Amino acid sequence: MTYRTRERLAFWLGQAITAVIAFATIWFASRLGYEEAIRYARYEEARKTRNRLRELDRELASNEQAIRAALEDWDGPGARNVTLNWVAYDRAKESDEYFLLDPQTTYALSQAYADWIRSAIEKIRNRTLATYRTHALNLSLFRERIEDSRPRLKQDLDKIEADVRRLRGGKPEVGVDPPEWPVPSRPPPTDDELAATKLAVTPGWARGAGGRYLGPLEDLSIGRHVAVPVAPRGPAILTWTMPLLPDGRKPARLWLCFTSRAPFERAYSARRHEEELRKIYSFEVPGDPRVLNVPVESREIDVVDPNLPLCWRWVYGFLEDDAGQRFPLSQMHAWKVGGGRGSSYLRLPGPQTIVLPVGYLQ
Amino acid sequence: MADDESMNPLGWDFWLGQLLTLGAAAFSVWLATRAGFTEAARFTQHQEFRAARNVLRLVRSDLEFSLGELRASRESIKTDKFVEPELRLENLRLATQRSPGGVIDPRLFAEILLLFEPEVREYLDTIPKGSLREKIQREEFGKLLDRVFDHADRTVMPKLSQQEHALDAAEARLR
Repeated sequence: MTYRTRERLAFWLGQAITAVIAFATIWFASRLGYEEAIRYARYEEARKTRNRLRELDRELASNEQAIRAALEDWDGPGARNVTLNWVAYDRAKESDEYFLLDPQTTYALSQAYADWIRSAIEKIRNRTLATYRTHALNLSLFRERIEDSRPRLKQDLDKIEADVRRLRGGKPEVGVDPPEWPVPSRPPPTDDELAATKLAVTPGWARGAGGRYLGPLEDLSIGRHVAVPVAPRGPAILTWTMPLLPDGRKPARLWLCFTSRAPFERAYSARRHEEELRKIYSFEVPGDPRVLNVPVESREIDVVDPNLPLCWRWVYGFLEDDAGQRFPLSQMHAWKVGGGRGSSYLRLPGPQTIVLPVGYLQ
Repeated sequence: MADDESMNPLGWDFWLGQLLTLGAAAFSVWLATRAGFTEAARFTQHQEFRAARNVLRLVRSDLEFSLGELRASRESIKTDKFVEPELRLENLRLATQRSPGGVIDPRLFAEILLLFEPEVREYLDTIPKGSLREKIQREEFGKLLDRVFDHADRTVMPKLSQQEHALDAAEARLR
């Protein structure tokens, strides 16, 4: 083969290879471009889902803070003007990203944004009830829903953040941190409150649930038989409607159960819910129950909790007579300590007051 | 023979050149797609921060107008010629519904709305005209406004400015 022939061959071979490289490059670019487009679409999906979850988490945090402010003092400015937001949840439900969430998370969210709390907030704003007691019970239940849903949300958020990082190829993202809101400080205790913290502890308190209760049962409902404190900063005075004892029976022991979660959330009938009621009577309830009991001789007593702040969120109890039958304490209240006419939620210790020990929940 | 080989146009250098061309083309395509992804992601985030910044601009305008009206109303209570304030909250409510999710803290909008609703709105809706009660209610309204201004100056406006600066800084980093 002459040089000229080889040169021509090299030229045409080079052209052919260039054409093949061009076609191959276009094919390669389209394949890679397609895969990158899919990766980008997944990245956008993960990012939008992450943003939705962040928005929901921040809205729940804002709602939780509003509820905490409302429950801090039933006389406080946060109580009657409690404002909760549903915007992020309503938007999330309308979005496609909602379907990418874990079903357990969506269930927890539906509990945290239940419709019944919207109507409860409307009633608070419209001042439909003279006393704040029912509102406080509803808000306390709602707070628990939020506290249950936020860890689930954070778990999903962490998973999706990891996906976003992976899809970005590990490159860091530019973010905007939310502002930090000041935590309102509690007012110092009043003279009456300080005096209540210095009351002598009543002797004879015993801890423990005391075994399964097998005696007669009465109907129970959260609205009548459970109390939340008017001011969790403490101290508090517990009062209730005196239970009527059968003729010839005398009061023997007072049982009080303090919990961090609602001990029960509905009404129970002695005829239809015997097993559930036995558990409640025996203090087998959620929320890490701390049970205290003390011998009593009178029905007309109130209890001072001198702790600052209070170590519980819910309380219910029974008066046990000398035959061992327990009578639920109904219309329980946990008042603020104080006199004067500045509030309808103030009480002073009465003539027959028993005082809880300090630090009893530790 | 040696001369033939050195003049061979189809030698190893020819094939090496073709291989390098193929490699360079493939690498360029790969780099372009990776860089394209990164730039697309950066652009999307930049647009999101810009949208959020525009929302806050509108919110600030409504907030400053409404607070200005309330301050004028507060002054008028002292001079006993009550001037009823006009509140502009529509853009604020729209911003709450449509702001880019996950960028602006929803509590900011909640705190801003709380300055005006429900208490201020209740007073404005229920103060009856031309009665003795109105004077007392105006004084109560004045005390309420003082609390509103205090909360706005100490907490809400600084947090709004903080959010705006954070968005500006984030947008600048992405440019």
